[in-house]
Amino acid sequence: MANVGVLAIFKYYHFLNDNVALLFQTLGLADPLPVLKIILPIGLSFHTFQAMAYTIEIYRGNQRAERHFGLYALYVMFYPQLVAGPIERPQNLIHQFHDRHTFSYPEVTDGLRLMLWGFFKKIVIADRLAVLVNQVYNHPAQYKGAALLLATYAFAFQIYCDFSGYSDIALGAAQVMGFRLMKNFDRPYHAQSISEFWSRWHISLSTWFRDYLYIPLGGNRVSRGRFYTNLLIVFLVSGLWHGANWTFLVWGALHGFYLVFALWSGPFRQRAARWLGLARRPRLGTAFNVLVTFHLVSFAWIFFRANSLSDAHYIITHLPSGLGASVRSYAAGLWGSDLGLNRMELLVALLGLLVMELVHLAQLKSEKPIRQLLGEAPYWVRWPIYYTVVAALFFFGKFDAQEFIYFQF
Amino acid sequence: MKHFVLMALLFLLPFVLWEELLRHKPEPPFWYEDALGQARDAQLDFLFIGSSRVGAAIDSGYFEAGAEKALGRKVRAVNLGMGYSTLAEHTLAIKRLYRLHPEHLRGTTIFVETLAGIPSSETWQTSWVHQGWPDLIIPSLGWADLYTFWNLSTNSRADKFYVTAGKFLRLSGEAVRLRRRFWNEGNVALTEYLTRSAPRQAYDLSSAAGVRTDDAGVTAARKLAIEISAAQLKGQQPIRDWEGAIVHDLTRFVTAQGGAVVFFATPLSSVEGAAWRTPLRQADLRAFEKVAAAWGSTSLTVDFVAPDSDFPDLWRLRQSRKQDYTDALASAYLQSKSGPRP
Repeated sequence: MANVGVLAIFKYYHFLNDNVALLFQTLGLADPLPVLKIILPIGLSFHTFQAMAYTIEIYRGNQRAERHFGLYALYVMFYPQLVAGPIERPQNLIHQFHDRHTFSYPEVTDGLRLMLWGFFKKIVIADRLAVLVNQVYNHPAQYKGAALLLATYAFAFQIYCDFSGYSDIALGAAQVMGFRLMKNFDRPYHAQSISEFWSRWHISLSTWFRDYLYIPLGGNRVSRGRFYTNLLIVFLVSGLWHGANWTFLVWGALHGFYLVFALWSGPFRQRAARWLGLARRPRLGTAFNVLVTFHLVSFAWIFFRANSLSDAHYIITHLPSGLGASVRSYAAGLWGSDLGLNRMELLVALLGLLVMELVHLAQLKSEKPIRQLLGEAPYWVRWPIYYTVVAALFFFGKFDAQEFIYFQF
Repeated sequence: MKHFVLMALLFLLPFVLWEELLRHKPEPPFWYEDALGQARDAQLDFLFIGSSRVGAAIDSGYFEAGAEKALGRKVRAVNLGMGYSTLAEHTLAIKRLYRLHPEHLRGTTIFVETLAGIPSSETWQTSWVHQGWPDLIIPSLGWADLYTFWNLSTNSRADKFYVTAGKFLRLSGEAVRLRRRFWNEGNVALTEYLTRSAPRQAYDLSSAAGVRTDDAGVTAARKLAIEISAAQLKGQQPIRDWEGAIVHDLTRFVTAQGGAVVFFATPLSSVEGAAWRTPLRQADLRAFEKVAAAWGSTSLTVDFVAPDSDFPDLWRLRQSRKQDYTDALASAYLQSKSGPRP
């Protein structure tokens, strides 16, 4: 209660007040709630959930209470994951504070490799795409068609590279110090369904909601109607967790709807897949599923990024406007600089995404993690790669101080 | 641990070697190099400071010829207009110039760029360097200035690190120049490839002072001029507080060294000029002229008109009109000194 109360006051009070004020204004009454000037503490949502996980696990008997206040405080505020997760469980983290740590060359170098990769995704890709996304999404009425489509795709990759890049830096930094944090992303845009997407995206949060909200509500061990309701509740709360705005609620509701619809329509979709011949062509079927899932997620991201519901409505309704003509225009290389990125910037962003996807595909085909393979390679293979990434960070990095997206949650 | 430290040092070795190599090469020319060189040997009479507009609009050789004819003696003038420069950079560079060659700068007149008569109102608590060009300030920044730069300026941490590293390492400045070249030339090459069948336009612009004269650069500059002007027209606030402004600091410094400061307006396209000719800005101009007079400096009214066709990128005067403007500037200055027209 204390944790949720703190979150409610700091994060949701203004949202509640704004909506109550609007309602009372409509009724011709004065706003009954006072205006509080409170600053949102950094990473509040993350370390609040982490503290709640601790309390719940002790209550369930899965974790012994930590008697040392300093270690408990370190668990709640462990600096690599303080501002944007991953949201750790006490079973994973607290015992590591008690363990003896010695310098491990492979662990330190592996951690540094992970941090380097995280910086590449954040500084080269995410911050570059942010320029385009911010230009379009902050002034949507100036755009239509291909510009809105491009900005939406760009945001899908921006938020992934930004958040997973941060997570890699956090995990790498912790690993350098000898601590292992949980993996938070697993190539989410390779998911073949929304359900699979949520097992690959922000894994620490989705498992948190699974263990502390979905399962206590009954999970799928209830009637079908209640099952669907549980899913909607979880995703509505998830949307609200991300931000105190109706857009986040709609985003969460959309994902809940996607899941419910997927469950309800499962048999129909299987029949459709057989009829289309996708069952006989598994690779085509996989590609189709991945593309559909990606587009469903990207559509939902519109609400996540839009500044308001009316902006989101504008974007959705004007996406098809003149789409063909504007796509042909951009494809012909007549790239207008009204999207904030010049040709070179866009090319670098695309190349960065290509490199990232090639690494992901290589990871898919490899039995071992790429980082481990790199660590086992001779120095004349490793070091040129390191220098190339460092040079890429320097030459292609965007250093305009774009804050990590999830820092605002 | 020892192995890790050794490997880390080995990893850094190429950068150390590169730094060592750079230290054996001559330093890239500092944009105040010409002034420094001339001030070493003889009196510098006139310095023109400001942005690339100044670099594009003033022909210092032509100004010298005109002034020599009017004043009956040899004069030396140096145009220090530089694209992406800030008044903070100019002020620090001027102070360095005076520190190194005070004997040849006594009585020097510094021409300070204004927009429609109003100079930059930046203070030391605003941005000292233009993002992407942090290397311009490095040669002029002393150690005490570096401390103030970190404390007061609103520049990003990345810029502050670049500048600080540049004080110690040649590599920092070199890396920034390489990166800038990569992006500028890369974008030009890519644009030319993508629009290879489109007709090329030749622009009557000099590339001195960092001005881009390629199609993509000119197009981007025009677009930026329109955007910035539109932004400047919205929510204009009065510019009245000059006490804490860098320009006041510069004027005080130059006057104390026996020199003089002259404020002059660079020619502006109608797009740029729109934001500076509003009633509010006219009032600001009148207020500034009083302040300038109180400082003992001169505000010139330059009799020069140029249509927008004389500004290919909407920022800078075309080359073919450079001498016309220089002539008008010289006339205005000499008339202010009650001297005859050159």
